[in-house]
Amino acid sequence: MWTQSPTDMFRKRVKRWPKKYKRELGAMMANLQTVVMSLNQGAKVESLLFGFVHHEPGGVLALDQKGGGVGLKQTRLYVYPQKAQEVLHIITIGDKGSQNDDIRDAKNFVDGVRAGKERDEDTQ
Amino acid sequence: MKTLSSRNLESINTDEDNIMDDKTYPDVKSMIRDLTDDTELIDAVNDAMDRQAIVRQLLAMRAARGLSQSDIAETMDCSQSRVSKMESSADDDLRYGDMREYARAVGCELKSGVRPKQLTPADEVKALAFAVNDRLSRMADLSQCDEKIAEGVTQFFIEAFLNFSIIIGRAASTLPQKPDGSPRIEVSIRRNRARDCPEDSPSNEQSQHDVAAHTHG
Repeated sequence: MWTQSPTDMFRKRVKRWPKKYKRELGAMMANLQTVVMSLNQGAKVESLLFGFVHHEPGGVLALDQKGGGVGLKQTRLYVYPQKAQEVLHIITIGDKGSQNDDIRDAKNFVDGVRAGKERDEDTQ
Repeated sequence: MKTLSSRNLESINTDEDNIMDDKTYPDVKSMIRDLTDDTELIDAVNDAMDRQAIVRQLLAMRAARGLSQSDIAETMDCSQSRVSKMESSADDDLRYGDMREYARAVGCELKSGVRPKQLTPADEVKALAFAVNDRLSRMADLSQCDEKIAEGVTQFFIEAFLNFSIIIGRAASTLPQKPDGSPRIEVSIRRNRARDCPEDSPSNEQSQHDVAAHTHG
């Protein structure tokens, strides 16, 4: 069963999330729940072919606000599914303006997770 | 919308107000409840969840079966763009017949029923527990006449027992702590590798786990 592990960056951004964009947050969280349900039903990450899922390089998934209704601002939630551990890392959340930085941060995070995994394998 | 400033994760992780909490969550609602006290944000998440409760289940089943929107469109004899529109619609905006057709296309059936509005979450859990009890009894009945089925059902019961324990343990871990900071319930599942049973013993798996639940105070 998959669990969700939020990073400190994500925690801080949720705490500071602007109220006027609460519907965008709700839509992204609902889409996150769809991803979690799919993985728990046995879906492969590659099979997560939803309109709101964008497959970024390095295995990062960017979930947008689609499905939340009309007139919503473009926003993205960046997650990384670590298959072997069945952990969905909730990396960061942002909007179009922070997109490039968010993708870079997500990539750095995934590199760190992979480096840690390799270290663990070397010490075994 | 004000652009959210982005800093690299390394610098964030060394901030003084760093939370450094490795807590994990079994579902989105419990995570959001834990991360913010803002009731408006929590309500917005709950509203969004309710908006597409059925659609989300259909999407999950499509992904689990490795099907694309085009596959569904072909089975439903409609365009891919119509399937795409369905998937981004609210439950209330979909026709019952379309949901039923979609469910069939992913190898499922859509079931509907009427129940009292004031059913509490505890009542729902009880109802689900009765349903589980009914299915387990049916499986036990099936195993009466065939040793192979009995072995398979036994293995399934053990897996189900462990999985239910894990589910309850995870839900319990999201309960607020007691005023003294201690957890209200602790569920521990210990895997015992070296027991008396040989590796290939059918009962080996059964003897490999201890499950315990503790309450404090």
